Amino acid sequence: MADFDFAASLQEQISALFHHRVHLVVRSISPSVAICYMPQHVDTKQLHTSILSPLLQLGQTPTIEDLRSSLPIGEIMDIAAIPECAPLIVKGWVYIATPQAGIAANVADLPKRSLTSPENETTILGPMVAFTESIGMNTTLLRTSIPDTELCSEEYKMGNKRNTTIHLMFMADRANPDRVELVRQRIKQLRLNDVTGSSELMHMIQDNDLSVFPQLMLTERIDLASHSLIEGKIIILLDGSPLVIVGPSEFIDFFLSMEDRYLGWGIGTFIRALRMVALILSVFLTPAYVAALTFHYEIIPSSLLVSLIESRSKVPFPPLFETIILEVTMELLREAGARLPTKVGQTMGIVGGIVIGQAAVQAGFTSNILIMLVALAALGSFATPDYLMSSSLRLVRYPMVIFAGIWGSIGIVFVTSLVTMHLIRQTSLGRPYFSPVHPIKESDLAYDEVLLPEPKGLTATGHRVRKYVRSISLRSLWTGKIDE
Amino acid sequence: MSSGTSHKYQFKAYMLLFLVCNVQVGVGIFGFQRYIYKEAGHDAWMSVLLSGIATHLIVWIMVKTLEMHKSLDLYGIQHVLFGKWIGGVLSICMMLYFLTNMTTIVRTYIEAIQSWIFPDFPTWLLSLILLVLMVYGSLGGIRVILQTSFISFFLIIATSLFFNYPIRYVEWSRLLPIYDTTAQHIWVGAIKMGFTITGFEVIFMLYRHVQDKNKVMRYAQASVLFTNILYLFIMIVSIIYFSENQILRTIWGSINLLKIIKYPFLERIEFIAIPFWMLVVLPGIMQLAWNVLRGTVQLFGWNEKLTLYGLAVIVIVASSTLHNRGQVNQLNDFIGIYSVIVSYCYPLLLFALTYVYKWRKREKGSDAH
Repeated sequence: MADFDFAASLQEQISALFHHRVHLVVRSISPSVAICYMPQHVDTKQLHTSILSPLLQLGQTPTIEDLRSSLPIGEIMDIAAIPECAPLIVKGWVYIATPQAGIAANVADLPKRSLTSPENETTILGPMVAFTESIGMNTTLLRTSIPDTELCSEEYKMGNKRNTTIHLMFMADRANPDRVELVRQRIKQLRLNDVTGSSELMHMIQDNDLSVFPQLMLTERIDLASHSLIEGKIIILLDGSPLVIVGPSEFIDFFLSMEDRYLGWGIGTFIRALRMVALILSVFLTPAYVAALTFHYEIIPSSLLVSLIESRSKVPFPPLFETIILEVTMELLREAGARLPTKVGQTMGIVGGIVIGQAAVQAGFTSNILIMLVALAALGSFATPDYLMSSSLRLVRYPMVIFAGIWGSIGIVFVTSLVTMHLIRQTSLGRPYFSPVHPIKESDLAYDEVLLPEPKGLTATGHRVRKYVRSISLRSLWTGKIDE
Repeated sequence: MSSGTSHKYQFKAYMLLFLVCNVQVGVGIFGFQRYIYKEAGHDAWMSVLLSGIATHLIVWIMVKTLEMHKSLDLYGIQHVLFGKWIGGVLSICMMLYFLTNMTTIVRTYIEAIQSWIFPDFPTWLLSLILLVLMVYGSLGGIRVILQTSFISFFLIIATSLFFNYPIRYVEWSRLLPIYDTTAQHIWVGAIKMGFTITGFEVIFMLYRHVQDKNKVMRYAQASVLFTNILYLFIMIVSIIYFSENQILRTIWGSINLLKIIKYPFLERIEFIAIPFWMLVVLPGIMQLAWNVLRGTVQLFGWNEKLTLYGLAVIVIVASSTLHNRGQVNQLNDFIGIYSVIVSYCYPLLLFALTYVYKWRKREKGSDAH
């Protein structure tokens, strides 16, 4: 009778922790030993071979030491009181109880996604592995990518319900200790119930959350994350999110892709320059149209002006209104395309291309040339590798269009100056965010030039390229791979 | 914040390259040709050259003076040399000079916009736009000033490339005969360069924030050299492009040069160049405001932010009270004389007094031993 009582009371106690509304398995091994687990959370095969069969061969009243020595399992934990075991059982551990004390053994087989190739930051030549939702797997990927003892990771728990794990990773010999401490403090200061995505976490720990520009980078690419670690940057991983946070980042980092490195310095530099052109086009094209057609038609040569006026002759709206309509339409198309299931996605192309594009011109809503410009500007903004940054740039375009409609070219320059100075004023983890010229030494912004490479402005690209070439020619002689 | 009392904000000497020439190349570049030509005729380029050489000399004297004073700025030097009261009065004069200079730059730029692009744009609104940007940038400290002046440096270079275009329409013989005037005319012409070329007195303020002070001379001179070459180039292009009657009646010489440029998709470059010149004007007035703030902090210990807002309001009000081209011209003439005194004569005086001060100190020191 005693053995029955023990298993039943154990079931009662653990089940009570879950308000009796949970599916638990409690099995009695002997009168004084019982195990408890959640059936879908454990690896059944391992449960049989590593726990059940050794336990069944033990005597009637084994001690904790006997249990411990008989289980061929690496991770075993002592449990002092029964409530402690509840979170472990959920995580796939097996609770092995005797009347005196208990231990928990890890045989977890939790559902997780297998490794896939990057979906959002695709490259043609790069490695085809992306981070997944499992923080353990992500840390493993990074660690195997940099098998160096200098790679540190610190663990933090966040949120009182979900108890999300956060990993802070950096290279001890490369990252600036002050900056690591800064991130540590920011993570510790967070008081929140729930954090689900790294993007959410990123907004909480970045320097100025009032800014529309992201100051930290999100990436799903392992090569980018590990490269950033070697550059001396700090990586923050969040359990349940396939994106890791990379910081400190500079404005220009958001326009560089790992692909540029794989393409070789010639094509890589060309593509980077192309992206800068895309940036300028996407920000200035439609405002310039508005300003030129509202105020400064002098700047358009007469032959070009004729065709412009011709295409606009049927449009009853002022250029500002016309442009805003089309820009908002473009944004709607993008948003609808992003939310639609892929199967219905084709409809978007038809709606966008034919109905809105062709019909809007024929109906006299917009001019042909504006449709072309808006499309070009949209293309330019999509050429930005970072999704958050390209969204920010699209957002900046609206004030620019509006001010171009009010003050003409003065308005464009007003917004340009404001945005430029805003970018210069920002910092990313205390480091200057936008610095066309190498930043000044400020004691609070000090960083080691040797460890963090030069800012990668368009002008600095040449410098970077030289370093890159040197690293190919010398180091690849014995390492066979390119690293800086 | 932009606190200059500590040595928190330090930068490398090569950044003087962007900072100094940015204050020099402000709005004077728009139409300095007429004034020089009026005095020196088609030998006006000699006046520009002369004023350039004088500038190099003065920069040399300035840096030498600063080297003797180690880590003091202009206000500190005045305090040491003239004592608390006279030094204080002189510092206030300097601050007034910077403030007037700011107003002149803002008002002249607005005048250019109103003459070329928007004749009906209200002056107060334009100065409000400029000053809002100035305040926003200055709140970020000298870091913002530095980075924006770097951007504007490239803007200046890009714009000066446009001046190659008019060369295809020039008459080189307009330069001849060389030296067709008197030395006195060339001299007066050089003095007329006053407002256009000054601004390098900011070295007095920037010096203490430079990290590697032994390289200051090199980069300060390089920056001034850049400005001099730019002015000389524009002056020569203007002399050979315009006829004599034309240049004397052209108020905005440099802008007129841009007017001729034509591309298949774009013409009237000045409609783009003048608004974008705001990015050159802004770091200049931000630096001047920063100079004034250093003074008010050292002399009166005023709250920097409030002083900055106060400065902006003063400049907006002052520039809005000037209604027409004549008043702007008068202001330019006045600041021209004022700046020649401040940037050319005053450094000489400081240099001499520093020597006297050092000598007396050494005498005292040897007495004590």
